[in-house]
Amino acid sequence: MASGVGVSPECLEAFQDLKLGHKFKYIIYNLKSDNTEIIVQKKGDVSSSYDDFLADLPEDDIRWAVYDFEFEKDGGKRNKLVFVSWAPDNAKIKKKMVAASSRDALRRALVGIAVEIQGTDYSEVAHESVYDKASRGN
Amino acid sequence: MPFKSVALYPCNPATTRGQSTKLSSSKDKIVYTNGRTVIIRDLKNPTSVIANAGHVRDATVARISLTGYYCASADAVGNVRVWDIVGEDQVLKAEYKVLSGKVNDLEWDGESKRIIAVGDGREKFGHAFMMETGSSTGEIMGHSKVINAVSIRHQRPFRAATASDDSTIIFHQGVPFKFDKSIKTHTKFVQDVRYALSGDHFASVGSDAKVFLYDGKNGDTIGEFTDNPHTGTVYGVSWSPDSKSLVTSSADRTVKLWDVETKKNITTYTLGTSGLDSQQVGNTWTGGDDIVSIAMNGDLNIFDKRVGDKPSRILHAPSKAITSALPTGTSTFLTGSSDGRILSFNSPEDGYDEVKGTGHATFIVGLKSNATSSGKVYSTAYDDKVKEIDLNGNSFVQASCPTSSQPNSIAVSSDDTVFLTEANGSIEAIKSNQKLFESKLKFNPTSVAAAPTSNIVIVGGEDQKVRLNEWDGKTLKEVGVLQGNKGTVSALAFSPDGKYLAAGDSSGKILLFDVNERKLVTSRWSFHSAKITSLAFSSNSKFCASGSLDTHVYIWNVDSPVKNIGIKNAVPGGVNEVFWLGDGKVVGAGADACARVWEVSF
Repeated sequence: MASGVGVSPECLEAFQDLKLGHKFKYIIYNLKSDNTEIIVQKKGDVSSSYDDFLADLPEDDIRWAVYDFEFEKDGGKRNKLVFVSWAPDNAKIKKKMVAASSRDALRRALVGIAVEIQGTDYSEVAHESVYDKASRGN
Repeated sequence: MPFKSVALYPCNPATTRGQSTKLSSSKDKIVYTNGRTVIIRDLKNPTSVIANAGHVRDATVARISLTGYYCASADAVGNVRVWDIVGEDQVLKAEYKVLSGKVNDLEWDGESKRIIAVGDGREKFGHAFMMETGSSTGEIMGHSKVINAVSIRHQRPFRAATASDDSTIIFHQGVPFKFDKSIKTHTKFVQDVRYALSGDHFASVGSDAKVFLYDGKNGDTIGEFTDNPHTGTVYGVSWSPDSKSLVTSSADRTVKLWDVETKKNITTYTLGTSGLDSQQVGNTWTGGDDIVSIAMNGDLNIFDKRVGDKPSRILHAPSKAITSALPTGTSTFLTGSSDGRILSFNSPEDGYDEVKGTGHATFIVGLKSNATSSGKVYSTAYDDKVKEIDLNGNSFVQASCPTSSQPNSIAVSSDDTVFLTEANGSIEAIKSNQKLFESKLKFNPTSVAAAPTSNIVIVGGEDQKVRLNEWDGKTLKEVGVLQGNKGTVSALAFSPDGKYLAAGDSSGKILLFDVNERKLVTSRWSFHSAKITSLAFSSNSKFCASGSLDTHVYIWNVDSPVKNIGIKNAVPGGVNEVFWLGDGKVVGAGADACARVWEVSF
């Protein structure tokens, strides 16, 4: 079920800049306050760390994020784009409902995502869990 | 890696009433099991300990091969694992399912190639197999009830003797092992049978309190040891390294030394005065000439054969799950276990010591002291008593105070008032063995903590709420509620500076609160997947260690809640208590009765 929430053009522009221009390390998306549109809330600086990214995921509100995940495997450096749907247990139920039904609108608009993470608490978005998922397969 | 394992303080063997406990040895090392864990420890070098928790079910017996390279251990569902003990990581050599029931005993042959495992099963009670391949090397047959022990003659021609609950011993010829004859000397359960290292004789002991000697090659009965015999079930027999003497351990609380040549009793050691605790349920004679006998309560009595009246030393350690613990210095701590014993740990060399005096009868719920450490420790247990322990004398204080129902958590405030939450839903305050206050609460309390620097007492309940109370010396007054936990609040801890409160719950989440401002600091500490059993802050209030039923230990950083260190599978079977020993060392203890120490660095 789609909620009818749209994706603002700036979301895609930011994503292009991250994917092709490598201008950011991550992008945090949020719902506009009137729940009509998904907007970019923050573009993470290239030099920011994974912990900075985690600090931008609030304890009691929903977010989506794209993170340019860099890791080493078999001696070589790899980059994968990780899509995170963040919906912690403590978030309001209505928010979580909207988040679940709007997620697809954003996810389908972004091309080139290699890994998808659903986070409901911090252990699911910890560096090691993401690394586990990203390094699986090729 | 930001943490490394620095020490393991081993548990003692687990004992079962009415059954012999199999101890074994290789040179100065003794081998035994407790729960899923197999322990190999060196009597001459107390810091050399191997703990292997490879079995999925409770391990029952373990023995080291004659070559000293491998250990074979068996469990309650019939699996035998053979693993390397020379290397660091105890590589599994082979694993076989040999019986359908519990394995009671196993033995290596003299060439370290074959193993016979015996115990309970549906179609057979014993199996002889090659260690490398698992293929059968004969048949163990002729018994009609569970087999208790097996022993193999280490020289060719190989022989094997098995002892069973059907009161017979069966003598097998080998290899391949096959039935030779049935020996009907005992009139009750035969508990143990052992071959001498020389191979000339073997001996058997049983529930009829008798000890018999047989010829090693043909199994003929040579005679009975009748000089000053045992008066209770004999559970274990072992030979001296020179094959000239025997030691037997019995439920009549004695350990007897026998001369094989003359069949005379050389020495009788009597242990304890009465009760189950001093029954001797198993023994081994090490290559270093130490005689080790295990008591029902798990104490390992070590005898010197030249000293005739009492053990030369006694190794104490918890033999049942550690249910609570408390640091008492930078390298010492107290442990309480599910059998009601409280022990004090002194140093890695000296190990544990008993806390003297009348203690608790069963399951220790908590051990707590006042944060300013006045030298008084309070304990409570399922025997519904609160006791005080004097650390300087290492003994219980005579007086105790009864609780109105079963306690489930204990806290001690800075003025030495003891707060208890209880199963009937009440909270009690006790000071100097006098009940000061009792109140029935509207919710079921499950945990309690007292602030180290103020008069705040925190109570956590089944309703997932954490309540702040003020204690004025006479009554508790509720002054606030902290919310956010997702399950029964199962563990509470104050930071030593009194600023922070960590609350862990049955869903595995830990919330960090600022007590003065009564607000949530972070809910990011959510990596555990099962009930939080223990929380402990470091002395500088910057780090918090947590232990959980999911067997992991995590160290959290108060200043940057995003960071943590995870010690995975820290305590097999679940963590019951974590605490800090000095700065930078974390101890985890739990279901397998061992205490493990890690050094952590941020």
